[in-house]
Amino acid sequence: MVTETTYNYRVVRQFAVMTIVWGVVSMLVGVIIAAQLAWPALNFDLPWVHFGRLRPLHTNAAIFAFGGCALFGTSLYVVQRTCQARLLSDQLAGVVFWGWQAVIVLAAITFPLGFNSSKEYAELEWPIDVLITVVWVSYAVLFFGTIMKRKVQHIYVANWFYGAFILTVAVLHLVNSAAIPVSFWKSYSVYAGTTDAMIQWWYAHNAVGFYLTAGFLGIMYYFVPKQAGRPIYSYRLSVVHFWALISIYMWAGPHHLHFTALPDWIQSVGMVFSLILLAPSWGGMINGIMTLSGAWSKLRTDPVLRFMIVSLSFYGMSTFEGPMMSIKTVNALSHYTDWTIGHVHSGALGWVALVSMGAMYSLIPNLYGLKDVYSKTLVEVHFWIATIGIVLYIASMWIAGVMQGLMWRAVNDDGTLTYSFIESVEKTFPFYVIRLAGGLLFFIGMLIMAWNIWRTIASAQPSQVQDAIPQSA
Amino acid sequence: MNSLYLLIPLGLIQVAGAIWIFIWAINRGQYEDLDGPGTEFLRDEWDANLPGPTGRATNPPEGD
Repeated sequence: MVTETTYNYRVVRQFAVMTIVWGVVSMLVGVIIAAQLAWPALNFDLPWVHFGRLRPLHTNAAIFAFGGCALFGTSLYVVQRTCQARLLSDQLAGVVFWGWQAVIVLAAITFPLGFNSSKEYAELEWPIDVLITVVWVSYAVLFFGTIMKRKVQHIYVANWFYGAFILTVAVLHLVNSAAIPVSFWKSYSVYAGTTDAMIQWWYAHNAVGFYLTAGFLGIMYYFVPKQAGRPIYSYRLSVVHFWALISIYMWAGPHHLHFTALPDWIQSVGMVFSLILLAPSWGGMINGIMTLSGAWSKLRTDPVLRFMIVSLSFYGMSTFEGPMMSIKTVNALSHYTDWTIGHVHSGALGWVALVSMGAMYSLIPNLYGLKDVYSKTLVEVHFWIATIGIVLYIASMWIAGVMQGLMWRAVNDDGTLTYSFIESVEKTFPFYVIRLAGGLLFFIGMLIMAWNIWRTIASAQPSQVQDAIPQSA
Repeated sequence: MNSLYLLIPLGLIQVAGAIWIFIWAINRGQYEDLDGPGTEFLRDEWDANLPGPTGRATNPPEGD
């Protein structure tokens, strides 16, 4: 039994532990489907473990289970700490935690069974979408309710990022998932054709912008200064970063539909906004990294800080790559190739996963009244294994993607295609194997983290956990 | 094209909302001090003056 005298850390602990659990699960599924792409025989001719069904399971588990638990856990921690107020309601916190876990378990059941609304990153069928809405509204009430009862006048910038993430995802989910049910497990989108595609990518791009970027920037703006023991490089810049990012991101979605039936000028507008996005993205990245200005030596001794700073480097890299890929002439080469998969994982593994792992290494000992994780050496090992894994992953996908793009566009003198599609697939095989190796390394790193965190929590004394509430560190 | 009839008004409503929140933040003095808030929560005594359970007489013990 743990008595919480000031803050509700219980829900934070719950989400923190499930971040680790779902991290292991989502990355395991990722490794399996990477192996299936290299050796299709691993589909075993079974529908339940077919790539087409496991792929949405992997993306949803990584984004909404692993990333989601990291966002819920850290936001509910940061909002309490920076507002000096306990969560609005413990009951509501329970609803958010158990409701979200129910969504994840339902996803893990329905995807292998083949229930899929065919909306990318929003594949869950309508009954689960309704449950998501209930959980999300509870979460919004909990978060903003806590901000309203804050004891400090200023709302710290991390809360602004979390707040934008919560509000925008609510709008995205409601608009994109609007569907007409025909049975309990089957529905049709209310939109059709190109309209449906545009709504879909408006959703998916803003999910990247507000869920995978703004949300995790909330993590960055609290945990990087905390871990470094110094304030953010420029608080002024962080405010500019926030307003610039949220006002530009919303318009960049059409770059996912270059060279499709979408009107050409809309594609161009999407491209232009994507290019402008480079400015606020890099402003934020520089702001985070320069926090260490004058204290770079901390990177030598603190592997947790290294997770965070390298994650910001990957954030900078993928937010440079993204605008470049949105340029139509570049996109003509990169679209539909594995370059896109490499780009996504540069952001997903490099930015989202590393910053979450860094935050968890920093947060979890704190939650259990400990000074540090069980083994710093293992954090160090995890850092290197994960980083090497990411580099193998994205480098192999870059090469594979450019190669595919060049092969598909190669034309003979008489106007016929030089290569058949299957020839490009054959040529991609070695890169799929390298990608699998990179993913496997990243997964092993996650297992090391799980072991390290397990031992950390096991070493916590119940009395320490009780005393942990008014933290100063 | 049809998607624009939904997405553009939706985008404008959101921008209007954002502008309204921005003005609210300025009027509430959120941006009066753009240096202090970056350091405040890092100070050791940040939590020291917490007045115990907030907004409730007693905190029920919780299982973990």
